[in-house]
Amino acid sequence: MKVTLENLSKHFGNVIAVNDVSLEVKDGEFVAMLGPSGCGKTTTLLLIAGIYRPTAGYIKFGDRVVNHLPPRDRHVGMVFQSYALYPHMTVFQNIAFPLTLQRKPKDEIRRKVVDVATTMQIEGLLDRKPAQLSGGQQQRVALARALIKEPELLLFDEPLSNLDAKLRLQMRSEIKHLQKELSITSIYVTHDQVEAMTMADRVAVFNHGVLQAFSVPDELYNNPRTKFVASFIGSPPMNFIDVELQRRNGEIYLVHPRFSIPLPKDKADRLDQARFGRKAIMGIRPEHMHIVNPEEGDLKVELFIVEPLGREDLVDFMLEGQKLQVLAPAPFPGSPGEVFGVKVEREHLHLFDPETEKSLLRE
Amino acid sequence: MESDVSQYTSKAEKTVIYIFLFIVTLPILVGYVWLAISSFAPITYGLIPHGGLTLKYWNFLTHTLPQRPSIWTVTLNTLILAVGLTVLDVLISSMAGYALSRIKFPGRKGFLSLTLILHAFPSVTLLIAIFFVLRLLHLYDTLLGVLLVMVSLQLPLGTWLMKGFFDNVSWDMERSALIDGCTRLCAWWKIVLPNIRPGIAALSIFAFITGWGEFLIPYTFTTTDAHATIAVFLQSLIGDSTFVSYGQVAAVGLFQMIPVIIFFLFTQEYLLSIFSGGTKGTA
Repeated sequence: MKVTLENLSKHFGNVIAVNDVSLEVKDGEFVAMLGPSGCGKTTTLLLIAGIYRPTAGYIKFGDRVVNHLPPRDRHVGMVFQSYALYPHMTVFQNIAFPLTLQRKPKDEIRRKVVDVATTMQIEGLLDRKPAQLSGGQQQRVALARALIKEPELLLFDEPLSNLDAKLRLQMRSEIKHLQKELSITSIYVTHDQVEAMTMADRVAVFNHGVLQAFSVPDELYNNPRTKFVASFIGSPPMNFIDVELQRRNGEIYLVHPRFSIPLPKDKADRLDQARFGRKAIMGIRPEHMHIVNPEEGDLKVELFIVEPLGREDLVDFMLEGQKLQVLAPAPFPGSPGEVFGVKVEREHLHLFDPETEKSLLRE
Repeated sequence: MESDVSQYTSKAEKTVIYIFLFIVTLPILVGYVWLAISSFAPITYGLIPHGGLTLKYWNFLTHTLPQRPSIWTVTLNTLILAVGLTVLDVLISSMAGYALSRIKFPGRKGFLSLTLILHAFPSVTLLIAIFFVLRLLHLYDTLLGVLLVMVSLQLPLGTWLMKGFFDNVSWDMERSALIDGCTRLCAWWKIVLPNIRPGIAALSIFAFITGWGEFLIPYTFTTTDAHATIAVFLQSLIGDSTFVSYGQVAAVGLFQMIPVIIFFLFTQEYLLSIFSGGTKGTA
């Protein structure tokens, strides 16, 4: 079932939680809604679930406007961050609850509960109460309860946040696999960009209630629309340096008191002529720079600290009081105060407008 | 809790605490002891019975005292009022408390303040006004009238308490219920209420004990002997212009108290949760 949001807005008094959001989720697609705390992603999810009523705009399931449809008629399953299991019922009763409400016959309920519990590998826990389960088990129960009514839409509200790191990784792939198998349209809210990138077919990035970008993970990583998206996607985050665009000898240069880097022709061609002579924000990811001898680099910098990550080292440099982070193969033999050269991969340069923070390299 | 205290207080400290508690509760204990002794002895000086022990003061259990209703009629009335108060108070308070906790309606803030003010309001000042209202509704000198007045006066506290308990239930649980297929009412009844069982128990106990011992309202708004409650009956034993039989008063008083004490002994854990302000042990 496809889900469409058209100019969706939600106001709480004077607070605009969701601001004119439009996007379309295809049938069977796994879409992540990503953003920092308070960006409106959970509110949007609750609007889709029917818990909140929109202030303006439309929510469509298929071709049908569902703005005024109560949650119980929307054929939606939802998994909450806190799992929201019913403490006074057993696991069996928790999972069976949606079917019990539909007054389905007892043997049908029993069959379906055992089925979905077996899929979630919790068939042995049916007689326990939620308080007797571990976090991971509770989560599976919550998922089973969401799936049992065979919904047309699955909603997730940061379901993995309360799990330890190892379990989180395990559940990530399990949920993704389950979704692919069942082909249920799924919308997944998270603040963890790794989760969003690894699990989703497309990612919607939110900030302050506004939809910043909605695209496949690769596109968001390689070709971000705004500085916010560029900074939020990818870990460690992109470096940003204030530069000025100058024309020299027919080429465009990114000029900084400490360096000048020529912009490759394909990028320079995309720039608006009026930009030349004006300020811009240069963006470059830590993995797209190399540490070399001071004379060979595009710029010379002083080492601040080395942060070992195991597989590689994150090397922090200081450039005019700003931190510049570069990923280098481990182990990196440098000590604080040493001067190094940094070479920038030209094809991975990004440019942003200092006021609008929009990318200058996109149409 | 007990074990926590034991870890950090020495035996000497504990002894001092217990001695202090004993001294403070002594007057109350002495009162109860006097009551028990007096109901079995013709004359009691201080706490010492004189003239042997007798059961004659307990005759009200089997005989109807002159110009008074049977104790069993009176007990039945008291039971009806106490149970009626409990059921109505809990039912209405849990619905009102839920609405106040969950639903944003115009005037909500004002309503909450009103609840507090009403609870603090001295009901005595309303007696005459209530008299007129009951007369108008033809409910004067009826158990129903007394019950309605008692419920109205208990509702502010009940509503406030219930709202507090509802506030402690997570919103996600209700949202999950709504998505699973519940209407608002179904979510309230099947999911939220079971999770504030301690709160409901606490309010029920509080309402029952209050209703059982209520004196002023039944006394003021009933005139017929057959509509009296135990408290009113008790008052009639003292309020006569004739010689007061304190042994009889003590016996009836003890009779009124016993169900409450037994009830309280078994349920005090729940009652204390009112003061600690919420449920514990739920997610």
